[in-house]
Amino acid sequence: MAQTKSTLKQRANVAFQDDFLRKAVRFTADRLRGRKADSTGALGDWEEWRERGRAIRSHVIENLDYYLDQFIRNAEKRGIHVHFAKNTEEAIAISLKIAKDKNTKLVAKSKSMVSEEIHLNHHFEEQGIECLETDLGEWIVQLAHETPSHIIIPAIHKNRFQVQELFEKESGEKLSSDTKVLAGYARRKLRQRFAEAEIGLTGCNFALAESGSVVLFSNEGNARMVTTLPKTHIVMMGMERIIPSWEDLEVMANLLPRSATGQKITVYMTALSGPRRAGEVDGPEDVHIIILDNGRSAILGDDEFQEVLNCIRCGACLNVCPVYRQVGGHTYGGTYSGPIGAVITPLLMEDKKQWGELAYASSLCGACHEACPVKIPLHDMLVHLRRRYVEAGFTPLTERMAYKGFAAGFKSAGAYKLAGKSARWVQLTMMGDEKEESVLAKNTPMHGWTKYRTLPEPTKKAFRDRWADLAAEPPQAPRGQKPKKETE
Amino acid sequence: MERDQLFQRIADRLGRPMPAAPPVREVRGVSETYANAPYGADAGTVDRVTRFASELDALGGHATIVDTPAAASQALKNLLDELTPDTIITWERQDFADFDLEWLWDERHARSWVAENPKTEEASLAEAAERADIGVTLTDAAIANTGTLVLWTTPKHARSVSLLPTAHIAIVRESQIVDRMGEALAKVTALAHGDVPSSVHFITGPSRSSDIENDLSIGVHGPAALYAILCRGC
Repeated sequence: MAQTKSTLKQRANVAFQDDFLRKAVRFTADRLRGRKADSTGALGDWEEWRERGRAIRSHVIENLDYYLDQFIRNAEKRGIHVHFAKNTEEAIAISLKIAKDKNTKLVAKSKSMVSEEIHLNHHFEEQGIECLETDLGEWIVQLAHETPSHIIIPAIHKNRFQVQELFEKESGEKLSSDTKVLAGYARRKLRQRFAEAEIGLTGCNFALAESGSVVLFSNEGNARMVTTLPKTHIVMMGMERIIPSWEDLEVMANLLPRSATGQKITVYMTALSGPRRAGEVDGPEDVHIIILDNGRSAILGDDEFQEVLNCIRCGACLNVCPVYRQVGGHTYGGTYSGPIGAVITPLLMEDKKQWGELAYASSLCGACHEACPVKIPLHDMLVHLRRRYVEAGFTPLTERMAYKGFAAGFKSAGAYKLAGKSARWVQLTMMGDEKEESVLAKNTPMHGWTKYRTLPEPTKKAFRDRWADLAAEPPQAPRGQKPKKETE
Repeated sequence: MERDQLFQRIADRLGRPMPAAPPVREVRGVSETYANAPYGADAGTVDRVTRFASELDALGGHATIVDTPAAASQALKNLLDELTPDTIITWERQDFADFDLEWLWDERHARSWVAENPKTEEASLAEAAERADIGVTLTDAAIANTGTLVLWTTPKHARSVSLLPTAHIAIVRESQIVDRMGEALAKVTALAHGDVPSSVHFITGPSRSSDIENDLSIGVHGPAALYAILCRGC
């Protein structure tokens, strides 16, 4: 899942230079958020729906071994091959083996965050197997050699002219920047290739334990294409994707699309239960499901974080996040961005020091929690992550010393008084206005704040010094009652 | 990794042995409130046919309401006259027996994509499906409060017919229209032999994408046009 060695701050600075990106992210987030509000409002008591969503998902996670077992038994009864991958390496090895057994040259993919998580395309291409993203946004991102910047709208950061350029380079044809023309080209071009692919690869939105079925949501229809034309279908699923039964699917099918895009339901919802049956004329002949752990089981049993496994990957938390809207998805550096990315990336990744800093990409406002259709307390989790980051000693020495000093200052009255006095002197060095920044303000250890915000001039007399004088003054007239002397 | 290892790891992390009996569930499916009022608390009496039509129209689909099977046949004929397709693929004649559609094969040369066709013809049919202008199907269920068609795969009902052509026309019987998704899901789980089909497709409007600058494009992979002929009293 690691995609970068740069720091959060460096990546944020890159995003800050990209005006189109920031405008596009804000526009999309507002649009999706507005549509969500309309569609959830129409459903009646949205809070009750959220609570049911939470209850169903929490129940599955608390009994994950039971439901996984049930799912696997039912899937195998249908002739599906089920595989288990502990980590990225195992998932790649298993999927590569299937691909090689089938002499695969081309894999047609519909959107799968898990395949992004394990960098499947990269590993397949190293072995000379082409992976073709068929979701329009994912294909754009693939042609640009980039990664998705939003869970639901992967190419949110690209404008139509950039897409035109990418498609013209791919086709050698002259196209226009009209989105209809561009989408039409994608249809023609990709249509030729679905049937060429030996393997269709998808993610899994929900896995139904009671029947061993895999449910996929899509608007374009590419998930249907890759599960209809290629002879082999591989499903990449995170081990927590389970729901117990078909009736629970109705709850999820109302929560997920409304939260993601404000649609009542996506254009296509497809429940797949094994390979084509005897006598059927289309659909895959061979189906493999790869169930991936990759750090998920380590979150189980952890009271502070277990609920994060309830996530249904709708992206609603991204669309309300004041930090995401400023920096976009790439700033988070991993596969998952926004508040959910800031929580699960540090949990799933082994390098807690590098990825733990993501928990600081938040104002802790809690909008993500309010938006979450399964009520994950993401903002609380960000605080827990910060605590663990500090406890592990990952914060910079200066910060640790500052907090030690802070603690010492608050422990004794004398030290507190002294600190108050010296703070006035420190404040003097950081005064200024927007035009005239103090040199010191830009260079102190607190420059993250003081570089852009200058402090006001301290009052002539400190509050503590005034307090003694105030106590000696005669009592004032009560509030609301005008002193008589002045009005007469 | 072996599955037993995975289950052991989960049980260890959760600090208890793996449950042998089904866990007790407090919440299952949608709330009673919603099940009893799938159009909202103050919706009053809802006519499923008109509701389905208005939902589908709102999504850029096209619904036509007719009162008899013969009128459904005529509505289909009108649509085809308007769309002038070169190739039409569909299911078997018997499937449409109630609707008097013999002309679809005899005059419009529709091709039925089913398993009974000889192998030699199958390859050309696959190609025909991929290039077809129109796919004509019936439905197994339809959901009124979202305007959703439900079709499942059988040897006689191939998945490609509702997917590959440029336009999809579905004839929907009034008797198949339910209020909400849960009722359609219950139809699936109640199927004969106690087994669910190899694939169940919920289709709500034409294929769409907003991946380029949030601008809506229709027909990115699936059919670019979706027509439903809703037959009352059928």
